Amino acid sequence: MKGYLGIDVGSVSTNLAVIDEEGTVLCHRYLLTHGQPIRAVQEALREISTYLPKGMEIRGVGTTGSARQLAGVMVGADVVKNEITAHAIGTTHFFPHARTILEIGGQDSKIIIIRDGLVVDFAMNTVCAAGTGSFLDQQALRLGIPIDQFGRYALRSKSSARIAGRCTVFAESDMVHKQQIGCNLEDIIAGLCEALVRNYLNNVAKGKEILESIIFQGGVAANEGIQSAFEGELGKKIYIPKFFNVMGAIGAAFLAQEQMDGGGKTHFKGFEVINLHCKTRSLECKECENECEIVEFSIGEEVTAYWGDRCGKWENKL
Amino acid sequence: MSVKVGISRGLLYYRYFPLWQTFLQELGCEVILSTPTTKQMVSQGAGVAVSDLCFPVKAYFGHILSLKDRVDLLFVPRYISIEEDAYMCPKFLGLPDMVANTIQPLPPLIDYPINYKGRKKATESLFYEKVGKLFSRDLKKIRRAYQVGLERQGNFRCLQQRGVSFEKALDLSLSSSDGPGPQREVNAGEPTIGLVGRPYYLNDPFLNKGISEKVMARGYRIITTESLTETEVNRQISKLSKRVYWSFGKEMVGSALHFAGDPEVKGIINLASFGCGQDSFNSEIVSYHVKRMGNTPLLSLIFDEHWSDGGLVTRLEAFLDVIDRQGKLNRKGKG
Repeated sequence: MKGYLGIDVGSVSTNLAVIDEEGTVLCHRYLLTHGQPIRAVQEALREISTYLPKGMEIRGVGTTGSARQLAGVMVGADVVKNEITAHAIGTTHFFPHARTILEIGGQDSKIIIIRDGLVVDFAMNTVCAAGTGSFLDQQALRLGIPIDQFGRYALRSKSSARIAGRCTVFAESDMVHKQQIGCNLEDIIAGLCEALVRNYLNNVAKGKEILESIIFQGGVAANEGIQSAFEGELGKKIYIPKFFNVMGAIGAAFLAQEQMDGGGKTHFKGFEVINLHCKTRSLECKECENECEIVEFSIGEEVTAYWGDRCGKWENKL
Repeated sequence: MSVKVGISRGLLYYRYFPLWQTFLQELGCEVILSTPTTKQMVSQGAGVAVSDLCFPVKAYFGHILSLKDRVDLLFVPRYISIEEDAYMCPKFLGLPDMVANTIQPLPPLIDYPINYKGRKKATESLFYEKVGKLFSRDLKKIRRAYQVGLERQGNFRCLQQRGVSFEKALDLSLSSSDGPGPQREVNAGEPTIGLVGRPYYLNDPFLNKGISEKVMARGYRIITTESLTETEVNRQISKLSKRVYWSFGKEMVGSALHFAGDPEVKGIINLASFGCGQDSFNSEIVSYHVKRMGNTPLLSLIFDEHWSDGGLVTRLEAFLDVIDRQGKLNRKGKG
């Protein structure tokens, strides 16, 4: 049996997915990155290897997410792609009629506009990460509610509290204020969900035409409160796909399949990378005044890759 | 010994350097140009600047800091208006004041104004006569220096309008006084990306984080705002319900509209500055009209003094993927 592996290493979670030749998702993992992308990828690979059918051959690997380059070098990726393309490829496979993708992840949020199965426009949050997963995590912790209960609390609210959502700092002080004047937790959480949705629609989705079908994915899609706030604000049905939190990884797997259909042999180093001692080191190149930050990647004692330089001197060194 | 005049490699250097340098050299000055923008310059410039200035002005301060101790005079002209019914950015109007009040001690500044308003065409020649009088009493010599400068400046802009890159156009126009050689480059069939922005964003690879190289590395050809003639810009601007008040704003909006109507241009990238009041609505006008005119994909990028280019790479890659995938489908459809 043959399959393709997709790896999405984001700021908060590291996700893996394996698809077969027909595009069926065979297995997937969602793990927290905890600021250690190398360890997270190794752990996720270890877990997924136990779920794979016997004799499974990985014919191609794709990586995406903010640590896509690091993960790509580490496992030997055939294609390294940005998360916008990866998400769009994954989603349009399952929802050929999708015209809008709302994606909210750990530290970024994006909107992807699709027409006739092709991406025609997109936007990502710029200077502000208000309303992404990290902020929700932080607030759940502060309120002493497990994050997976957050959405349920919001749905129980009868009358949501008005929270300012344009900045996490203001949102937090607003929430504290509402607690102090006696609003109940459900109403505050529902208010927060609405504030985040308003912030997203006014900033990230500003000027974009949100047409149905609308697909909502990324880690934050697990929060029913946000889904219901989106439906309330847009007056449209929002679909949450089964694989909402690993869609980037699935897209990366499809991209790997597309790449390998063009011929060639995979660069995948195999599941042995689980046990390799990988480390990175950063250094500042002093050879010119650009002073690029170079990342050095080594396996054991051997340096296997450099990146981060503008001129390519380091990148082409090996 | 000749007088050393310092010119910062920033802001309007990217538009007027052939004229400035030629004029000053013809009058016997030694022109000292700062080096290309470096990280250190930007850090130092941002360190002395008030925080709400835009990134290019902060970088400009860094250039001044690197020059001030090795020149006799600093050339910081006050560009107020260069054409009828349009102004330069307020930061240019106040540039000599900002420089003088931010960085001290400084060598004397050459900061005469260029203001089209009320003076019409004579404004530029009067400016150069004033500057010239600092170095010569011979008015004929000054006027001739200005004429030679204008000729090279004309050649430089003409080369840019034929699609020659900034660096190459600069070299060619300064190395000989012959008219521009190369004709407008013929498109070899590579898909084209239109780059919209101000001269200093389009041409300083430190400010734009090497965007041109990044786009070309993906197999695209680039044309920029600077490749349009004034007539071409005005033709587009005249279609708007209201004129654009800023000279560079006019060029940006005009070129974006021109690119949107050019079937060879497969995508438009708009370069804007964080904290720039003009860009905030220029970008809106651009995106409104590009969308209205059809379906040319548009990417708006906002730059500031952030070092990391991770965010830029992600957006740019995704944007070019959009164009690649549309192109593939079109070819399939035709085949």
